[in-house]
Amino acid sequence: MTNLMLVPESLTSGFSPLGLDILSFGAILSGILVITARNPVISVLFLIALFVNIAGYLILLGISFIGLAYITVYVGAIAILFLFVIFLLDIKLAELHQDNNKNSLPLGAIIGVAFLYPLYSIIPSNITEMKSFSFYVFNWLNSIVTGQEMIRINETKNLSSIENFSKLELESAITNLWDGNFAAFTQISSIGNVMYTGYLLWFFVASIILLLAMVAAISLTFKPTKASSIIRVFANTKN
Amino acid sequence: MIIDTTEVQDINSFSRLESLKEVYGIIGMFLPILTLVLGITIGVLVIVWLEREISAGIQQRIGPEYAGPLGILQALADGTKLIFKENLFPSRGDTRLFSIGPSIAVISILLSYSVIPFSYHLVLSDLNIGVFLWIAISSIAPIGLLMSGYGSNNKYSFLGGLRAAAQSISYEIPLTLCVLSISLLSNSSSTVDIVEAQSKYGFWGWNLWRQPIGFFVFLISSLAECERLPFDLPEAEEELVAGYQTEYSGIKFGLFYVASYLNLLVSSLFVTVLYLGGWNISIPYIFVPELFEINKVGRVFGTTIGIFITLAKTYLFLFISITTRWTLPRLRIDQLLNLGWKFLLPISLGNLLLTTSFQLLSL
Repeated sequence: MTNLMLVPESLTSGFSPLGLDILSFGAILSGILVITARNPVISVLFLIALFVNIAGYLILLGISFIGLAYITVYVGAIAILFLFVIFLLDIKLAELHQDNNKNSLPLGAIIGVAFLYPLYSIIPSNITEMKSFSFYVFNWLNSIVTGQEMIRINETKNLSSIENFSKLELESAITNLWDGNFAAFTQISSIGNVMYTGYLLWFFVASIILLLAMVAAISLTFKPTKASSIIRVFANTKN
Repeated sequence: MIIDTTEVQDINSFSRLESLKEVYGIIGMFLPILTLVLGITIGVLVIVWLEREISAGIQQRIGPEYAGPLGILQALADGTKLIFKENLFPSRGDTRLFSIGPSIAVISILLSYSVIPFSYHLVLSDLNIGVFLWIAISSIAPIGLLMSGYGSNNKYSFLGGLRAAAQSISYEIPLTLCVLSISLLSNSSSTVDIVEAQSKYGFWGWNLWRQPIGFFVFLISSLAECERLPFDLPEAEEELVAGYQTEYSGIKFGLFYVASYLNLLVSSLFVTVLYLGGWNISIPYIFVPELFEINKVGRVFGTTIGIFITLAKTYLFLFISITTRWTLPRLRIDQLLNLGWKFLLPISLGNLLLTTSFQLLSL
């Protein structure tokens, strides 16, 4: 009897779903604190905590390059720019003490539902089939709402621990990382392969947009040269 | 099948070992980290002593002499004094931010030590994106400085924090571009692979000869990242008292102090790894791993020699940056930003372009 089967990455890749749960809980908590913090500086700092949590989640999933790029771009550039801008705002102490974020709650609820509902209906169920706490909670909520369990837990439960896993009559097992045994492609090189072949056009478009933004920013800071100021003087005298 | 009693005992002891495996796993995980942190701490103490001695030599003073022979224990005495000092909090400041700020600055720098190879494959984690980890992690440090500057409720601290963040953001870009050209040259961004790629022709194989522009840009911008003296605008005494650390006292001030030296040490280590061939002895036709027999003693000996070579190269750069600190005057803030954005950034971009085209030609 040959059982060629897909081993869940949680058994092979070295991460435990519990760590992912902790990180996603931290991300949700800091996301909530971003909204509820009265001081905008504190709320941006919680936003940074959210970014770091998500980067840790990605790294733990094995997408370490994207995770580190997330830290570099979001924490290193965007969040610090946010902080700079907010530092320059004139925040009154009285404004910090008044309750002014209640009217944004329904808006947040509507946006959250409108975002999450399509997401859960699009994502195939075997991606959410991760044996984690959030999965059980989601499944439970789903069974309350729709009256049926979306995914049968009992089938996947057999593989949940290594002891059960080793009891299976198993001749060969593959993981999603099987191709890594033949030729080790680093994530950077595979991203480069995709970006410079299949998505070349979009890469060019994105680079031109970025170049445009950079040229615009530089041209804003230029001092008027002598020639252009003379033209301006002439223009003024004609008026 | 008959089993002897000794075999039963063997099996029993083996199963007992199995149950201890998790404990050993945890110890095996924490022991290298502890060793690394201990080594780094000793390294920082040595740098503090070196800085005092070298500055004394430059200014023709005697320097530390009372604490231990040659004043070697001076750094330890400084640290003890800082620990026992009173921990003051500014009134009306944000106490949480004030406390978290220094620790974020230290932790983010300590994390980047995990990818540095100290000797022949002696590295805490050999990631295939090792250099990139350093770049990503070092972009977290300015947030700690901003937090402490904001939490102090002091104009000088605030401006110092802003300056520190602006400086480290603007000098991170040339630094990243230099690292990018290095990883282009060695076809990998793992620190171990980068050192291996330089190990062929002794010191002629160093990236220093293939990347002279990148080397100088890297040196200047890593000095600016550490906020060392030609670029220590965030702590300019005549303008900002002491910048973001104005309100700090006791061990929190000590954390900032340690963080700056940790940053200096990690930059020098990265100069060694990226440009000077890391643990290689760098004399042509002599390879350290081949000198010793492949047994335990030989490997331990080879590893120790590798560590000494790495540290010798590192402390050369530490000496250079300490001498720079005590001989050069400070820049103005506009000169600093002009140097970063209008000189180092275009030059490092051009260097990247040159490296890429040469790589394409050599293909």
